[in-house]
Amino acid sequence: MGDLVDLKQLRVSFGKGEGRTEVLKGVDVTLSRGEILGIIGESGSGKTMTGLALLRLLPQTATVTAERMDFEGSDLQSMPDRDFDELRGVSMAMVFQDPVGSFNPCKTIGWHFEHALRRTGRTEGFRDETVRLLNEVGVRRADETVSLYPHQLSGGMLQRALIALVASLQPRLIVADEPTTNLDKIIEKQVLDLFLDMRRKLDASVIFVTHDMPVAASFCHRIAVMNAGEMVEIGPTEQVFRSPRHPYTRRLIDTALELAGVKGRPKASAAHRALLEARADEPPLYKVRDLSITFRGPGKRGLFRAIDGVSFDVMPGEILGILGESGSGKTTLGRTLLRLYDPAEGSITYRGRDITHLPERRLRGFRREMQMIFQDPGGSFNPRKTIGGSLREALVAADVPASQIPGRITALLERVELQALHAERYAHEMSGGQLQRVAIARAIALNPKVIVADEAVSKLDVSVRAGVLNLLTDIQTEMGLSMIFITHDLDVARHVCDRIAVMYHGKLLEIGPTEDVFTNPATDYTRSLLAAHHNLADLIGA
Amino acid sequence: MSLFHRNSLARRFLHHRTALAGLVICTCVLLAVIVGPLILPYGPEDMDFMATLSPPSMAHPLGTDSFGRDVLVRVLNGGQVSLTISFLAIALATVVGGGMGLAAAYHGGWTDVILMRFADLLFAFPSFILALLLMVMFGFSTSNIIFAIALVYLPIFARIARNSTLLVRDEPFVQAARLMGRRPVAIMLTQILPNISAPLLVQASAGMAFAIILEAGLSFIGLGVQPPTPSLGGIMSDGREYFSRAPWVLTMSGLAISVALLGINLLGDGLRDLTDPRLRERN
Repeated sequence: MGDLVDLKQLRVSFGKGEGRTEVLKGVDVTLSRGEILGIIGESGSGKTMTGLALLRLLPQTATVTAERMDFEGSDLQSMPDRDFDELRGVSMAMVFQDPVGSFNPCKTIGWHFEHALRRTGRTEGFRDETVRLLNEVGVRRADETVSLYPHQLSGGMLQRALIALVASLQPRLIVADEPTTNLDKIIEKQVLDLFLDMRRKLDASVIFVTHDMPVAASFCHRIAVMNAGEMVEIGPTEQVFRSPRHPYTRRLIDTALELAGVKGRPKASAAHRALLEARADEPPLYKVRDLSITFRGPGKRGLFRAIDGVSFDVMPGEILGILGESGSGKTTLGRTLLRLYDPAEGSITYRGRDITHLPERRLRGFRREMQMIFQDPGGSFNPRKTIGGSLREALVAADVPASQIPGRITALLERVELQALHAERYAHEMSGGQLQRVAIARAIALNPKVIVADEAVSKLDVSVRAGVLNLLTDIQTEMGLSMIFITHDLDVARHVCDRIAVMYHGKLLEIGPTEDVFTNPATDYTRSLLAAHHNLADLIGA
Repeated sequence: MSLFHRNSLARRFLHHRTALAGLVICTCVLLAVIVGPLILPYGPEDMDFMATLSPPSMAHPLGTDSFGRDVLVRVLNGGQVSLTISFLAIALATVVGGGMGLAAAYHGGWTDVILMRFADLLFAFPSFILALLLMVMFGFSTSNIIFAIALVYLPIFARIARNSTLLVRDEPFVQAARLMGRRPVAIMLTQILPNISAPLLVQASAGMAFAIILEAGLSFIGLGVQPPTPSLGGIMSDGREYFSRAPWVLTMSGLAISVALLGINLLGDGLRDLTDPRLRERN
């Protein structure tokens, strides 16, 4: 057997006796030298556990059993901890999702490299070697970086440094757990290239855990699909994506393809077109002129301009997308439109009324015309209240008579495709997709004129994402309200938005009809954003 | 999400040995100080000059003091007075301090600066010195002891409430309530308070112990509860004068304070363990 890794019937469970839950139910994985295996699946599918079990990184409460667990022909299960420590961190390395948490914040980058290099048997020349490794992964000014602390580097740079650190060990197996999920698209592409580079130089194998199917499709040789602790399908990338054997894989791919625009876009629906045309002559809902927002910078050193001189209009009945990477100011902009933040300069006019500096007391009268759907479904509801209680609060705020409230709660839950029984539940007893539906219900309970959806689906699993998006756009058309759709996901933006505004470092780079922005971008930044983007439909030729 | 769990705290409480022991001791202490004075045959101020400073016996299980008053009865009555004062003081400190911290964190800006600098000012003095100062300023009376102790412990509650509120304030569900057009006071009471109450209650239970010590200390040096009303500090102070002849007066009243403090501290520690997710794994 020339396989680097050979796992057979790997089982992982937590707890004992009745409280025992099995998170991996017999997983078989083989990995040959130089191969990149992608493990895709939704949250809770056990995709991370496979890598952690292999590296013996699971918490002590976990029980791991396997019929076979071999690495380079030696049995890992019977190996004592001391021998295993020799292997882990030298022959087998792990890249975690969060680069910030992977470094000791009190120590310099150079210190981390020194420690890693010592493990490979080196006793001197740490600094030169570190600089060389950092240069190789494209860290600018590597010489200075060595003596910097982790918090002084950006997320992307830190992830590069982490990959350089892993490369310094010259491992034969790298387990990468969502290594690019926290990174911007443009940086993600660079980091993926680094992995390819490392694989070539070190002849290393990579287990690449991700939920991002376009990334998996473009990057991996073979794909394993996990669902509820089972590996439902494993095969060459081409085969898994073009002719999936398992219905679950089929469903995952279909949803991703739907978002990628294969089956047409809801914004092109007749009802939505009619809505836009009927309201085309109305004055804009929002007029934003030269808007700037500043926050006090870290350590009171000057002011940080989160939004810098932004001007645009929001038309009644339209879905305006605000597209940008993390830190571009898109969330700040959305919250400022709802006057959750105070603008520093410029003006916001809402339905002909200047609300730029209106005090909270005077805003209260029409606050409920402007609603928001938040990114984090778990945080959107008071954990001490039932879902019904949260909806009741909204209905009371909307002056619904007390006698009608129970009926309205049921009607709202049914409108968002949930059931009356969900009213009894607490937020932590529901899934992210269900909570996001309730968030939509709470927003429409107040009869708003505009909804700001801030990354409303980006924390949801792929298979429920399309459902929530379609619900959101249906309700938007049905109620004839405007929607400001904040996202970093190009596919989602193209899927739902009528117009797109591209934000970068607090500035509005361009704004225009969606297809114009996508097919004929006006700025270099938008072009590079589009270039870094993998469209699943194009990748697998569907 | 640390502040937000709501699973069966009561059940975990009963499985936590420290918390359970604390609860048992506290219940016994409470029962003793409430029921004891009702069933014992003497009043706290009944003097028996035929039996002054008599050692523990069947008639007087903990002996008598220099006026022939039954020490057990006085300790139980004194305990009742001390516990009532401490409880009211801590309740006041929790409500006012918690409210201050909540308002300071929610409004931010000048409200925050003024309220928290006031809290810092109170915090800058050693607690006993501050209590002494306040008692001298207010004058000696039982209600003033309550105010003095409440003021001394107010900053702790203000800070805890402020820190917890800062964590919750920017949660989406609070923003959602703002967007419903709800008033700041309503948001603070219905959205934020339920989510910060756990650390406040834990601190309140621990604060009871400190309040008892402070009250006993004030009464011991004669600035607290005024005789003839019994209080634990006052009884200890009496007992000190004739300690060599009748050691039981000082010892027994001191022991009573120790038992009450032990119970409250165990209960407080248990509650802290049970509500702190970082410590919860271990038990």
